[in-house]
Amino acid sequence: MTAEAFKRQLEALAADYRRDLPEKLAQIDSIWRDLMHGAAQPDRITELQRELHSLAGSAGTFGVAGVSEAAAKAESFLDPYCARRKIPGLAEQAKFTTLLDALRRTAS
Amino acid sequence: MKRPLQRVLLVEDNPDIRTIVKAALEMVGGLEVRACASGAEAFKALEEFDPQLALLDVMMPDMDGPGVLAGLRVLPAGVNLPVVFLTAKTATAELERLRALGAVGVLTKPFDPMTLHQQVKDVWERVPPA
Repeated sequence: MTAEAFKRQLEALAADYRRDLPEKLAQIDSIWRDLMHGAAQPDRITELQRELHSLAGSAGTFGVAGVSEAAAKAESFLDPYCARRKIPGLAEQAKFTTLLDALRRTAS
Repeated sequence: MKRPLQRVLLVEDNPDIRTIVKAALEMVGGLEVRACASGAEAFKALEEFDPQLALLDVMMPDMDGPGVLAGLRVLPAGVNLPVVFLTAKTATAELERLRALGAVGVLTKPFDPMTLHQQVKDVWERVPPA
C-alpha cells in the first residue's frame, strides 16, 4: 500500500463523511430541541456535548475545518451545564441556538 | 536497541475516526492496528494482539480514555504498555492532566491523516526501551 492509495481512500472517506454530515447535525438539533422543550432528561446534555465533541474532533480531519471549529465552540459552551447536568436558562439557550445556527451554516 | 514500532492498539468510539486512524497507520505508516470501539473490547484483544503501544481516545461513553488506561495497568499485558492519548480538547491544562496520568504522548484532533503515522512513530522513539 502507498500514500497515493491512502489519499484515494481518504478522499472517498471524506466524501462519505460530508454526505453524512446533515444527519449528524440533525441528531444534534434533535437532542437540543428535546432538552429545550423538556422532552429529554437534563442529563442528556452530556450526550449533546459528546455529539459536538465527536464532530469537533472529526470534521477537521475530513477536511471541513470550519465545522470542527464551530462544533468546538458549541461544545465548550456546554461545559458548565454538563458539569451540573443542568439545562441552560432561556437567555443562554438563545446563545447556544446561535452557535448551532453558525455550525449549520458552516456545514452547508 | 529498541524494536521498531509494528503493532498499535487503537481504542476510539467514533467510527469515522477509528476507520481513518487505522487506515492511516496501516497504509501510510506500515503498522498493524487492532481497532477497538471500547475499553472492554480492547481488554479482550490485549493478550492475543500483544501491542507495543496503545492509542486511546479520551472522551468515550461508558469508559473514557483515562479509565481504559487504568484498566490496562491492572492487566499483565498492559502494565507497562506505553499509552498515547488522542483528544479534541487542546487546552494546555487538559494536555498536562493527560500526561500526568502516565501517557507517553498526547496527540490532538483534528489531525492530518497523512502525517499521523509519523507523529505516532515520533512518540515511540521517545519511549525508553523496555
